[in-house]
Amino acid sequence: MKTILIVDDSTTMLMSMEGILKRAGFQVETATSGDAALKKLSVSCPDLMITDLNMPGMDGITLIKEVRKVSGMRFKPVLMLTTESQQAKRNEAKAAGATGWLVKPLKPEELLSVVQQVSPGN
Amino acid sequence: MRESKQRPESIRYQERYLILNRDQLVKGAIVIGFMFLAIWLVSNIVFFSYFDASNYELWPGTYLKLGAILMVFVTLVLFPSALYIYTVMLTRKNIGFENLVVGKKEDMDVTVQSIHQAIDGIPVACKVLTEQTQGISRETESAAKEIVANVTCLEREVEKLSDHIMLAIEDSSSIKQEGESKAVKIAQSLENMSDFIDARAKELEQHKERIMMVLEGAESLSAMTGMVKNIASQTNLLALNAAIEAARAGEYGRGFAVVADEVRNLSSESEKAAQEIEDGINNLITSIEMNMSLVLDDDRVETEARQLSEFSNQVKVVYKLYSRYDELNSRLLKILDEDSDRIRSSVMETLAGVQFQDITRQRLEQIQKWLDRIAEHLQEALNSMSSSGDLAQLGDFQVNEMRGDYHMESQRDAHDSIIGLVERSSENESPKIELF
Repeated sequence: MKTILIVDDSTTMLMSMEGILKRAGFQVETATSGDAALKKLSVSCPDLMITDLNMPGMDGITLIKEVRKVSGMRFKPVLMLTTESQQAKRNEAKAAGATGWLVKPLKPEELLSVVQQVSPGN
Repeated sequence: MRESKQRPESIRYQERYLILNRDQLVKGAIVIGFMFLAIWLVSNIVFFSYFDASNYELWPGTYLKLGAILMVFVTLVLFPSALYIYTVMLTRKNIGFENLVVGKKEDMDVTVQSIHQAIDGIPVACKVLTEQTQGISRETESAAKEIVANVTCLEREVEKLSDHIMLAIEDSSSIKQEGESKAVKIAQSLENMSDFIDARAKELEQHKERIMMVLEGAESLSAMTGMVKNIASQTNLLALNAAIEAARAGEYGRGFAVVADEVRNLSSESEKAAQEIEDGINNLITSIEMNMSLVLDDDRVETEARQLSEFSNQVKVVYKLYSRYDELNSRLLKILDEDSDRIRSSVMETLAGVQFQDITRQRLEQIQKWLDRIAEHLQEALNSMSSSGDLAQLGDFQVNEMRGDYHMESQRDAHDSIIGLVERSSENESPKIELF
């Protein structure tokens, strides 16, 4: 069973994403900040990470830069899930090492399709 | 790209009225005071230069008249001109309209007070609105969590129900397997029973035929006892005749008489034996007829065959009903399976719908932020008015800064529709999902 780490400061977003992905057969871990996510990564690395962009404290782009320094996460897919739609931010995320950019709100089939597409082994 | 809709009311107001702050009014007053002093000095110089003290004439000559005209000219023309030039100069400096209106001090104080009263509550109102939006954010978050909890609970209940039904179907499946083997046995038994019914009917027929033959044989034996009795009767008659002839022969016939007597006894016993045989045969026939009458009864055979056949048919009906039940179970399983998928899909859709709360929260947070900014700006303006600060230095409220703060296209669209910007082309919009 593949593990996905979701990072978002909104607990409702975490509940929503966790609910969808668990029902699709994934094992889900959650973190409400970049620091909490990095702490989890120091223990074990998921197969995929989905992070929000605008979070208090560490933002999503900084988090991706930090995540790419973790040896087990260097080549793992990391998706950005945000309300932000500006191209400049996308380019910034791409440069930081993001695998893809998803704009909220996402339909379950859209989310699962992207997750399947970027999951290792596909 | 951008074009203003209409010039704001404030600018038009500024063009119609000259509005000055306190410092500017003081400066203006000093300038005008000096001008008055200058005019007064010039007037005095001119007047005393041409005043003829020896004659005590106020208007001694032409020069004096010219001086007086000059004084009047300066007072009536130069002073208003200086004042006009001064005010035009101030207007060109684009002094902010939001300061004080030129007028009597009392009037200005009243104006300041009115403006204070008018906008004094707005910073507080902004804070109240911020609190209200935070309340909306909290309520939507709690509603969203409740939706998730309810949906999850509902799903759990449906899963439980589904599990129960699946268990029941599994049980019925094992019963079905058992039932299938039994049904095969029942079908085999039915087959055997049918054969048995046919064989039994045939067997009974054969029994009947054999018994009839036995009865016929017994009846023919009965006829043969009649012959024996007849022979015994004739033998008796012959023995009687022989006894008569022996008596006629006298002494010589004594031995023969003994034989004749024995013969007659023999014939009498033969007759008796024949009678006993006949009685025995008749008893046997009666006994067979009595005992076999139930077996040989045709109606009873038919009734038995019909009952067996009916039983067989009923068993077949039960077997068919059972097969239908099995089919229903299979259909129920399929429906349950499809329904479970549909429910899972609906739950996932509902969970995805909860994202609205995060989007609403972010929009409300930005509204809160800008309400705070408006409140700060107004507070600064009020402070400037109260402490005779320079309102011109406060600067305009930069509405366009708000635009740079937005995350969502819908926020930018809403902003642009109010500010009056030309709608952006949707072709330039970035895709919702982009893999790098």
